[in-house]
Amino acid sequence: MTGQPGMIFYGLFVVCGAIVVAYTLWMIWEERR
Amino acid sequence: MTPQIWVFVGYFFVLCAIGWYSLRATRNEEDYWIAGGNLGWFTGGATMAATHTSAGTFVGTIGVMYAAGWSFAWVLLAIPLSYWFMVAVLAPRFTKQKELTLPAFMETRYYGKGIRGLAGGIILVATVIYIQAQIVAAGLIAHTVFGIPTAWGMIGFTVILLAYTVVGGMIAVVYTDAFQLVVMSVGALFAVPLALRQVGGPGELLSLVESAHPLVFTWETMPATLLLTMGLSFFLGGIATPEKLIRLYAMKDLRTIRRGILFAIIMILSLNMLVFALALCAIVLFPELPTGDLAMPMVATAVLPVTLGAILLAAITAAMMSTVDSLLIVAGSALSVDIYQNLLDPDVTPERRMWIARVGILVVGSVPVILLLSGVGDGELVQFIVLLFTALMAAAFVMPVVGGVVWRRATKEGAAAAMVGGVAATFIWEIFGVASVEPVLLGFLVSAALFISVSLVTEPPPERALEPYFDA
Repeated sequence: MTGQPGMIFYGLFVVCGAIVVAYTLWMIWEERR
Repeated sequence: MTPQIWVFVGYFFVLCAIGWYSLRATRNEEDYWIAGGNLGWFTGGATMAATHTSAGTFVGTIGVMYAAGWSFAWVLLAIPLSYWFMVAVLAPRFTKQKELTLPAFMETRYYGKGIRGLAGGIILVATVIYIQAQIVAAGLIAHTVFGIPTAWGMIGFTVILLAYTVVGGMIAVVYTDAFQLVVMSVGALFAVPLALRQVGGPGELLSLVESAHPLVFTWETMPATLLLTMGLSFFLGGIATPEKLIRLYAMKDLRTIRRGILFAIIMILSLNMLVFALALCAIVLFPELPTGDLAMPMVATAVLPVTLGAILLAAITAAMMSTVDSLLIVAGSALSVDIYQNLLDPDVTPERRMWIARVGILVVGSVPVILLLSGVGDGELVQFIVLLFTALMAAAFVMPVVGGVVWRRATKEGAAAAMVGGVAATFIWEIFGVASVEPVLLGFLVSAALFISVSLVTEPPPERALEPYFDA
């Protein structure tokens, strides 16, 4: 029991953040097109 | 009166006030069913997020994570991806040709009144039974908060819900949804820091949770097939459920939809993260619960001070109400517009249409509680149907809706076969299939196979059916 949950825990936050950023960039790109 | 009752009285008063305002703002059928098709990104996104977040998030998700651990959290990723798909693929076609209901889309794209009636019938039956399940949950909350019999709780919940939905239609639903989203966020935002303080802070939480549930941060608690098919169920169910598609018609234009969905995605992800945190706290604070579904009520009653606990219970009620009111609109419009006006009485005057609309909502809203009070659909059957609802909607509507706007060759017969076959296959898997694979997989595959094969062997669709959705 290290108290360090690892990638299964932190990875989810990273991926969720990445999706939101990617969606926002896509939205900006669509609007400029 | 206790502080709990004050919290709920104040909360219900705001809902009824919004209903009253919306009655005056509703001038015609378009206002009543799609809020005039004129929503901005904030109200549009808020109603999408509130409709999405149901008792399933606040009670069910915590329950599953309490038992199965963090691996289940990864299913969450399917949600933003399904909204993205909806905005990128469906919204550009849906905004070209606005309709009042999803079955009306079916009539335009699949050139027939019969297929519209079929879609209306599937929506009507599935939503009425789903609403029943939510009413049972509301009855239990009312019993916990006010100590009244469950039956009175169910009646009270239905009366308040109908009070604003019948009079104010979609405008009332949209503005109450925005308010309900605030209640949900406040409830979760207060609950998480207090629960964390009980545990000893975020660092303590992570080490204690592993002692209480050693497999919590591993992939070993759920079979990979179950995780993947659950994700598929969330993804497909997210794309083509009528209560979400109808919000594409309710928002002003494509640009507004893109922004509204970004707002909805951020809200849904944040609310789910807060709920996940509560689930981890519950594992540490109450490691011995007989069922995970008790985790949220335990946090609300045993961790939080009375008034804040009441706000969290109000948040759970808000999650249920904001989902059920949207389903009432969908089921009510299926009954009044797609079945009654479309098939039985096409020449009805505009004034009578408004009355028929309100009667439709009143009927579909009263039937579930009447059935429950007469002992039909209580107990296990309801649980079984809640899990089935998303799978049924996905199996019935994903192919006809998505295929209809991306594939010119899709025909009426193909769409009808996909709906009927998808629904039948989902039921068959639910009854006879293995539990580690969600029923949506078979339902969707059968629906897709029938959609493509039947479309290819029948007459191609006429040009007038394609013109609203495809460039010439």
